[in-house]
Amino acid sequence: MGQSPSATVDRENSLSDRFSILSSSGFISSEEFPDEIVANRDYTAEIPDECLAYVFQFLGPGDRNQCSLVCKRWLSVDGESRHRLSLNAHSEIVALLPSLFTRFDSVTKLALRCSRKSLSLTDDALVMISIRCRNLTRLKLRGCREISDEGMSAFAQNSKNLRKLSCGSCMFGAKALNAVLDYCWNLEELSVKRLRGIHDGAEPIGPGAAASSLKMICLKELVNGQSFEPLMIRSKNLKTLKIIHCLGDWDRVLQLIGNPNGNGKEKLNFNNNNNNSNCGSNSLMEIHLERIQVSDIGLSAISKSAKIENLHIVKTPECSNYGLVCVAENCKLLRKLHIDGWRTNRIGDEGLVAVAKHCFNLQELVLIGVNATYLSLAAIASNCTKLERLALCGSGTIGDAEISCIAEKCMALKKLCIKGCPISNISIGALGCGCPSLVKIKVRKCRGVSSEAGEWLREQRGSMVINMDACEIDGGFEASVSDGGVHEIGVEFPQVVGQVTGADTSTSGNGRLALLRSKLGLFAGRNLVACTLRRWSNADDNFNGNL
Amino acid sequence: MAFTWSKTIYMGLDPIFLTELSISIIIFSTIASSKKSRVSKIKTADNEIFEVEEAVATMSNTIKIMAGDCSGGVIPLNNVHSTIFARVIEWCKKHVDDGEDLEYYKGALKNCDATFFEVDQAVLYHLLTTANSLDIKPLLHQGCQRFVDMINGKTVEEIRQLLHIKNDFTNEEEDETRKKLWSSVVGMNSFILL
Repeated sequence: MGQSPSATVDRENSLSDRFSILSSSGFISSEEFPDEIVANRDYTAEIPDECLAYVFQFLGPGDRNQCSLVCKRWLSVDGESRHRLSLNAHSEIVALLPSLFTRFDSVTKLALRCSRKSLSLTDDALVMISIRCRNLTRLKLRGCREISDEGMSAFAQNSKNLRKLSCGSCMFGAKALNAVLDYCWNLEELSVKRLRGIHDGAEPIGPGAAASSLKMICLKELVNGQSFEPLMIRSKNLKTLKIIHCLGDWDRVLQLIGNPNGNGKEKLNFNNNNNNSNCGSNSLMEIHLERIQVSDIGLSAISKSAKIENLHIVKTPECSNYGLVCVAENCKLLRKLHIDGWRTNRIGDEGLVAVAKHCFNLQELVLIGVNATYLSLAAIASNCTKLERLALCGSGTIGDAEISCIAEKCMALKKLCIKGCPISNISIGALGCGCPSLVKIKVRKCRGVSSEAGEWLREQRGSMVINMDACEIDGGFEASVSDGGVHEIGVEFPQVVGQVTGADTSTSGNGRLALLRSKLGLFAGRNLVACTLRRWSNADDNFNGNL
Repeated sequence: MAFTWSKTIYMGLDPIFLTELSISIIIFSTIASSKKSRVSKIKTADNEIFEVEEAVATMSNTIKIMAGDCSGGVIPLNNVHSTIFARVIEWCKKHVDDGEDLEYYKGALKNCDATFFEVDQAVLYHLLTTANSLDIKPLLHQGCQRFVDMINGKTVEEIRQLLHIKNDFTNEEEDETRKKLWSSVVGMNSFILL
């Protein structure tokens, strides 16, 4: 708490000037702050540590790092209050780990990222970290290829407080995960992506001691994701299940989840009346299925989870109207529904009419590459009175008639996105006069809509946020329509197969997509769905060959 | 009562009904005014006594708890000076009806509270410390925000000069912290000398 004779004029706080003004008004008496008169001093020394820490929380990482270097006290306050840390986990940092964790002694959320070019941390380093960070609640591992099953097991034994584990592109496998599930019995979220050790011969994973605490499982790009079957079935409190681009058939696993007492060999249930008798104590509320082999059998099994509120069926060409009808009839609590039909035409009006008929709580609907017509959209607009967010993309059947009836009937609609559909200015006209609750509208790549229509709409509905630029690069628009927490379909693609030509792996998700778009100049006239369809069919060949 | 009687006879209305009505009005207004007049008496460190409306005073969780213990007596605040306390109360009076949403207070700092916080460092820090000890979250929030605005975007040396903080690192210590440790932490890359 030194009194530093400051040679520089402090422009921001000419203390002596202000002080003289204040004391002359009698506001601050000199006996209250006697030292003021002497020199500029460090007042921050009088703020208690907890207060200073609270201030640091407001700062971005750059400013925070600056502050930590100001003086020893600020360094220690920053260190003690730094709960989140992200490290470049290459092997050279091993020497620094002791001093790092002496400085940052309250870390609860840790990310260890290693790039492909470097050698990553080893097991010993990971174990040392687990000893120093006793209160670790979240761990994220990316590309830590030197960590083995034994290392993860030792880590898990020291990390009883772990709640979330996310591992991607690492080399360990089922043994490691089973150790985590056995020792970290508070684990709530498990996210696994591209784990090389989960190969075809892998041992089954789960349920472990964490089975009753686990709430979310997310599996991405696994060869043998089915090895997680015991975990998925026996986690009694599982709320969220996401299976994205994993190989193999998934109908069986979904059947077992939906009917834990069955043997997984049930045929398609044509008579859905006895559904409830088979319903286990299933607590699933959110399911994402994307680019996996699942058919109507799987959807029918999902429909047994009557508490489902959020369902994503993305690019699963074996799912048809029948499966959607099953889900609609049984899952009355459905609030968010995303369907990417991939233009295979297997899901359409029939399924959506069933949704309109049964799912009155529907708040959010995203349809991509689904040929819906007036028939189903009118039904949804009339019956789903709570519908607030709607996105319609890449569909050749959605035209003026469809939009007009939405405008006329969707009273609660707040956000609307239309992309790559054959609508014209008539639709904009209808929207201007309808949808009384509409707050935000986005229209992209609809050739029939002119900029004059946009101008007109701005005049009509001044308070609405209107986004109608036809040619901008736009990534993750579905995410902007739906509320937080939705899987960003548009952003996922470039990450899947690194070997696909043209993919730039150095920038972040949205940047990559923009780069992709600019490189795929010849697709500029088409919409997002079409160009990614092409990439996926290329990617498929590459993916299988690169294991 | 006599007054009421004469009035009702004069107006030619049913006197009994009006009496009952006026009795209830008297009762209600007594209750209402007693609620309004509930003040807290607070004594600061320099023995000055403040009489503050209860609703305003209990924006401070500390005072709220102490009021429960003192039940009607004078609440002593032994480490808050009267001048700062007066300021704090001024702020509380302004925000007594504004609720708990901290995002609102962040916005308010830009508008109506901007001048309140145009104070020199000494006062700002006393406000922060007092808001912390009296546990008035929104005021602390705004004070911190103001502090953050001051140091936002500044380099280490600029912050030291602004706040008159002495650099007590040796050159070696500063080197080690800046170069070696920071090179391993993601997000601190702007300081690496590669």
